[in-house]
Amino acid sequence: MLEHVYWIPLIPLFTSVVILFGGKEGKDSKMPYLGIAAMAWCFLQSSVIFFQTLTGRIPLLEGKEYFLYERIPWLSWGPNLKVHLGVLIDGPAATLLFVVTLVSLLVQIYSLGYMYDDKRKKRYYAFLSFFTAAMLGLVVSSSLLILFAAWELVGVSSYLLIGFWFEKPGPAYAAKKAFITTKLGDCGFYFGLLLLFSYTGTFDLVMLKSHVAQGLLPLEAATAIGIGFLIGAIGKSAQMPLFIWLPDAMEGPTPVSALIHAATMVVAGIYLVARVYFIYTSAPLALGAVAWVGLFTAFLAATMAVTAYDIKKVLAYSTISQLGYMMLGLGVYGYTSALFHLTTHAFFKALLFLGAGSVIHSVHTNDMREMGGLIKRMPATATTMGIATLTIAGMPLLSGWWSKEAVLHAAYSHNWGMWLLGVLTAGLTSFYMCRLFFLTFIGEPRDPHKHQHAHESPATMTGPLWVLAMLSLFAGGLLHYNGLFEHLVHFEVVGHGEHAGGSHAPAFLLPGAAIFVFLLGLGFAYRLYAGSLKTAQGLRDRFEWAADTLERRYYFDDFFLWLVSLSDKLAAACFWIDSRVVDAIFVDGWALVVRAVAAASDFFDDYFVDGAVDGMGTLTQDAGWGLRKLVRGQVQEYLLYVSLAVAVFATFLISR
Amino acid sequence: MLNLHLLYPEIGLAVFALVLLTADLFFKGGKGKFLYFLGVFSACLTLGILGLAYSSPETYQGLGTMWTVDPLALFFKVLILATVILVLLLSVEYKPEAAHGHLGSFSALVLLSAVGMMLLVSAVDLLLIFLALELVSISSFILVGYERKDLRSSEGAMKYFIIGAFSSALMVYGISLFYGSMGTTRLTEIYPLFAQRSSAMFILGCLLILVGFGFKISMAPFHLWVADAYEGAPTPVTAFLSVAPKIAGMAVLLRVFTHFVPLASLDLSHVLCFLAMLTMTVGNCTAIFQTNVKRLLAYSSIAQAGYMLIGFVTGGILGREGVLLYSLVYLFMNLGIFAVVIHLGNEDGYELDAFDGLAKRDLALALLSTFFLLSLAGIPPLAGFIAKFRLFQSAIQGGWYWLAVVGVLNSVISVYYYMSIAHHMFFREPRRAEPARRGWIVTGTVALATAAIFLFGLYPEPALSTVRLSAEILPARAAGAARAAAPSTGPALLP
Amino acid sequence: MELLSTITFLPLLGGLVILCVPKEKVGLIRGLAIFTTAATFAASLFLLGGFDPNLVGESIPKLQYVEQLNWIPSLGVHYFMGVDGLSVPIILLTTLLSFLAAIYSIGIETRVKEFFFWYLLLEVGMIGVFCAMDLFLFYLFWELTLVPMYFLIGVWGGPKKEFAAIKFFLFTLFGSVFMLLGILALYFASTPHTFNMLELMQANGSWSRSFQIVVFIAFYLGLAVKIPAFPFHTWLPLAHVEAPTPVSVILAGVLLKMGVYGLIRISYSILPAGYEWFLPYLIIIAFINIVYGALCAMAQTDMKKMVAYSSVNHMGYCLLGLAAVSTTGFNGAIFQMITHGIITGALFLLVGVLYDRAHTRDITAFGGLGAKLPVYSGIMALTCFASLGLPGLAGFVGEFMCFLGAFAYWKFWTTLSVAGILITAAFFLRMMQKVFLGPFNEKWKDLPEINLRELIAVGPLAVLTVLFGVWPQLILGLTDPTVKMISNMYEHMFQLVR
Repeated sequence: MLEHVYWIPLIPLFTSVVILFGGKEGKDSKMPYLGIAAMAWCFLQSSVIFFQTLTGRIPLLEGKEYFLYERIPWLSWGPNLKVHLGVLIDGPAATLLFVVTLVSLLVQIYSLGYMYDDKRKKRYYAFLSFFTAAMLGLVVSSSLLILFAAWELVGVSSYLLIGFWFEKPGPAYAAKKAFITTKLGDCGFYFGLLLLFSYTGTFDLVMLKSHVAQGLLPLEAATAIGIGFLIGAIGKSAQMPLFIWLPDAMEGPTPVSALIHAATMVVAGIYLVARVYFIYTSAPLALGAVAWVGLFTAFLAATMAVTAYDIKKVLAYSTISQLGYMMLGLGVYGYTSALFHLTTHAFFKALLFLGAGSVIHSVHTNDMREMGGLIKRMPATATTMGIATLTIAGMPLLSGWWSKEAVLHAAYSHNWGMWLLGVLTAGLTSFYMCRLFFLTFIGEPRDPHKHQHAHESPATMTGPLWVLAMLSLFAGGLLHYNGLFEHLVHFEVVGHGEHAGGSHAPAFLLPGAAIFVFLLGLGFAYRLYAGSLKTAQGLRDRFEWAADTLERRYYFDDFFLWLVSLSDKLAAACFWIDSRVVDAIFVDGWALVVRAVAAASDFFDDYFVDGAVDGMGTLTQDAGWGLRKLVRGQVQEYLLYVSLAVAVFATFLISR
Repeated sequence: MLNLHLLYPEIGLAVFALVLLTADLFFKGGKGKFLYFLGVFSACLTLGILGLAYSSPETYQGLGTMWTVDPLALFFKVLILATVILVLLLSVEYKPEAAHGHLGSFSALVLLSAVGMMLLVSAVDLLLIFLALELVSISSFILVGYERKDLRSSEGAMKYFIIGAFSSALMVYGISLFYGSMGTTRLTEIYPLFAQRSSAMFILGCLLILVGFGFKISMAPFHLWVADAYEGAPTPVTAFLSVAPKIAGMAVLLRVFTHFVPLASLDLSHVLCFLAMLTMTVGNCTAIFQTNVKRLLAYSSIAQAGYMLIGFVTGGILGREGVLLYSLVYLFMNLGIFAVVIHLGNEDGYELDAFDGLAKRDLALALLSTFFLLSLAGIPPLAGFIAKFRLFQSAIQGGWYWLAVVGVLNSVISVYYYMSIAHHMFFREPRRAEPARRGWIVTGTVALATAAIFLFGLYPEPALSTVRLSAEILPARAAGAARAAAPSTGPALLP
Repeated sequence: MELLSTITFLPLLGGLVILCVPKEKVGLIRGLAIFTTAATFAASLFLLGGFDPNLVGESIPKLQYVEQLNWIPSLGVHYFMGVDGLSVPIILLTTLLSFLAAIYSIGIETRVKEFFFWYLLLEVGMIGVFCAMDLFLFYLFWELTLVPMYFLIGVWGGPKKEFAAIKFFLFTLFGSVFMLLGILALYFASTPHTFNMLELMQANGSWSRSFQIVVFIAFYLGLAVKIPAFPFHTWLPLAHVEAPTPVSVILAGVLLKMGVYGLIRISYSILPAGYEWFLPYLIIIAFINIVYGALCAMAQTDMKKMVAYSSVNHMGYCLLGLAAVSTTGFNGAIFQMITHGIITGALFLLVGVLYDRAHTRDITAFGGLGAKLPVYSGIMALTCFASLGLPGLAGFVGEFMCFLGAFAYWKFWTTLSVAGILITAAFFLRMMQKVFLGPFNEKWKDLPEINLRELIAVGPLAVLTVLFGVWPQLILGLTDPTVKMISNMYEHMFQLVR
């Protein structure tokens, strides 16, 4: 059945086309159901694939750990250079197939409620299907070039969806910002591709792997390529310093944020690094860069989340932070753990966003200071959100706990300093997430009016919440159960087992520390935000500068805005040069030469023989100018000069 | 051997001229228009007689005492007569009454100068060359000043006369020096001699002769009379002067300086190269700033002369063919545009804006005149391009790379002012709504010229082969002196 | 009459017929013109049908549909037409764009007769350039494009049309006259003297390097102006902006391609040594075109001028591909030519559509049109994304292959050029945000949606943009065999460069 895997991206693609061009636009368009149906089919297919591979019922591996299907050549030129529209299914791919289709399906169902009265429903669903298609293509493609193509396409669909409500200036700006920022990263990716090709002459992942295994890639090349891809990943997965686009991207519809900016697209960067992990393992420097970028991103983002009051912004920062964890995992040889965390994170982060969406849907604001006490009004949302919060905060035995533990464990065994910062971040996470929960659902309603009109969302919205809640609760444990997931997704680093290097921890230390920081964060959050906000406010006033720095995102935005204005100045300068210098040289330069010659010959004309007088002159003077000139003898003068010139020249000619 | 029969065409034409002069006494004013046609008729008849020379070369071609009738001469005689015919026809269309005082003498003068030119192109004796030249000059002086009441006309004539006289003087001096060093004025006799006796006196003589002709073909820096003479003269005369004397002068230069006394052997090639560059550059750059069509075309004709000079610089058979071809093409494109100028000038005068909005009033005429202009600028696929191509070809072959470069750059500059006329025709609003009515003569002339420039442009083979045949000069020179032709094929880069 | 000549001279026939129609019969004239271009396009489809891409020679291109007759024996000029995988796609592009632009030209109201006469004459020149295999003939067609373009810009153009027209004319002529000298030099350098490109390709073995370099420069002057390569590009923004929409389409879509085509067909194939000598400069020029062009585009507030400068940037990609001297690079360059023709053609049409309605092209004057003109905005967005090289649309493949090819030998400059991609994205997206997104500017509340005529003109281009993006093999299949042969013509020589 794997032969037909390529239908999984294709079906949504065609669906999106049909939705876009078929039927008529409007809030009562029937097209959404088509999209959902298609996605349901995809979900079934991919879940079958996922579970059967998970339980080893379809052996991906007759000797090899992947399934490769390359029949359709997309590009083929020159001396047997080829790029196939191929499918490469291995553990991570199968997992992502499952995750993407699942979340996409749920989000589409959820959107039935959320986008209920939107006048451009059809377009919305078309974009969703298109995004899913692109994302799935990214997941399954067997060639880095196709992966890059899909990578750009998810970027553009993200652009379209962020800017879905483009009449508002906010989304319009955010969409552009998102696209260009990621494009900046893509330049790195692009460079990596070029360099890779110039050494190996192929984009085919399987062939690349064997090439690298044969050592075709010298160390510095591998490092450069790794860095290049990392830059791409930094852009896409909103890592430091290019994370600036993700918070703004929250301008888009909330389900979109759940699908694209939490569960799927933003993990594309992680997936890319995982996809070409063999390059990184052969270039320790690049891998180190991955680790440190991830670590710092995780920490900084977490700190930023602490002060934010916009519910979606908090979630955005937490997403960035969690992505940082995944990067960290990859960076410290925790291949499995990173992808494990990717999976679980998809569930609970999607849940968080959808929950937040449900809240926003009912209170029509993003600002948590206007919420509070909503648990009475919307119990289902509150419960599910609570579960998600606990999961991400790292409550033991929930999904998040397993995966995050795995990452931290890998970190510890690589470098305990990293582990320390990681644990600290975990504490922060638990703090700001609980803060979010308390601010939103617990305590007194701070805006009675809004509270009055708050209501539980329809089943189309709560249903998906429950599904995701269940997954957040148990998925981690189940997958962790006797190393199922590890069996499916693992990477044998040559000469470096998962636990080699670093030091071994006493068994209780890691879990203990994790539980401790979890409780600590929870406690602080409760103390500060469950009741009145005075103390919190007090702290905030005391550490004004800190809060300010955090809200300004460590001035990263300002830096990039400065960069943009700089490039604008540069552009203006270039254009000035173009019109005032380059062009002038050609046009005026020529004019100059011509004028000079003409002026010279005109001088002779005027001085000696020119009688080209305007009619008036001629008529008024009976004798006429030219004739007078003759009388004055200027023509003769000219002739005299001529004969002199001739004489001089002749003597010269003869005396040679 | 006098071989007078070789001169039958000239004699015939001269007789006709005298007839016209006398006829002029009897037909006064407007009703004498048919005298024009009489002139045209006589020219056609002369053409017919020339036909004999082609049909039976053995009798009608050959060497006379002071003249020779060879393909070169015949070729140019045909061109000259063609010019005469077209010009006389156009004079019918020329409205200003002043010119219609003495139609007979007008056409007679045209014919006489034609006779002069015909003698000129077939003369092989410096004395005959001089006499013929004077015949041409004197009649042209009168023609330029033909509109006696117009100050510009008489002014132009006066300058033309003074400068012309001066140039003749120079030439006489040159000839005498020539005679002094060679002991003969007979070109046919000197070429065995000068090889060992190319004394200073001889070189100086040649130089002065060259300068003298320089005036006639308006070679810079001897061109200053051109603008005024052309502007002052009645437009048909301008057309006539811009073509006939110029190509006749070219013919003589060809005969003398590429055949009997090759420039290369006098080390004058580089001088002429420089003068050629100067001529085209000055002509083009000055033309750009003219607002009067006749002045503009005057300077353009100077530039055109500059291109033709390339052929002399490079010498050799290719250069010679180039000059012949250029003269042929130049005749048609220049007369073509002059036909339009005369036609429009009658109503709107000769400032550039006479052309305003012609495209709206008379699209066909506008298009055709655009073709003439483009051909003058040397834009393919028109005849002007082929001619220029031939000349540049000879330059490249001879290794005169810089000459070629300056040449092509000049043709770029020239586009500017040729197109400025097109600019007036197409981009401006017409000053008058009603379409310009053209008589059959203008239409015919323009049509003929267009046909010519397209034929020579798209299918130049016949023209080229004719030219190749006509490049032959009698008496053929001893191979020993063939130093003019210095073709250096292959990628030798520096001249 | 043979097929190539038919394709080439059919428009001429149409033009002459139109000249005979009285100028009041506007409808008839338009009909004739569109019919002619359509017929030409159909004929070129026949050409495509009968063309076998895999029929290539070993050492020199093997031509198909060859027509050869002795035209001007005394000049050694032959009427020699023929096509190979290099020219066929471009010919199709030419005929297609001419057809669509002709449809769009129905919008031309003044002096229709003259317009279509010049227009068709222009098409003759363009097609001829890509068919001619004799340098003399090539030059003839090359110059044939000048005059019509001069009038098309000068009569029907914008405010500064007259200056733009003469500037275009002089600039291009300035370049091409040097090309003429180069042609003559080649003629005399070859024994026996010939203008036949194929024979010259074999003759170059005996020429000194210095000779090839000088002649190369002469040719380059002519070609660079057309491409346009820095610093000879300054005629382009003015000409593109002032020209009427359909003419800008032709200008950007086809005329610029003549330069690149010439670089491959003549400079590289006939003067390898000169080409090899020039490579280091070529790559730098490519870089300047890409980045500098993009920056200049970013500085514009006039949409049309922005698109014009983006052409400078895109032709830079072509130069990048040419500098690679490899199958990848050449394929990329040709692909880029085709797609740039399609995409930028569409862009100019779309900008024209907006201009016809709003009578301004100022980016800042609009806002939120996306809500008002969904179809128009949709197509515009598609085209912009294609132009900034979004994978899945036509722009990507050519661009990427150019980079891929060039990177193999010019790592430094190619890497720097990658910045161009970012800048391109930046200014296109900014334009889209300012014009289509954001709050709707009430000033344009009665702006009509794109009409059928315009849709017919743009639609095919949009479709092709997607088609070639999804299935690039359509073009590569045509070009690749020829390109393989061409890029191996002088392997020994270009090994040294690398």
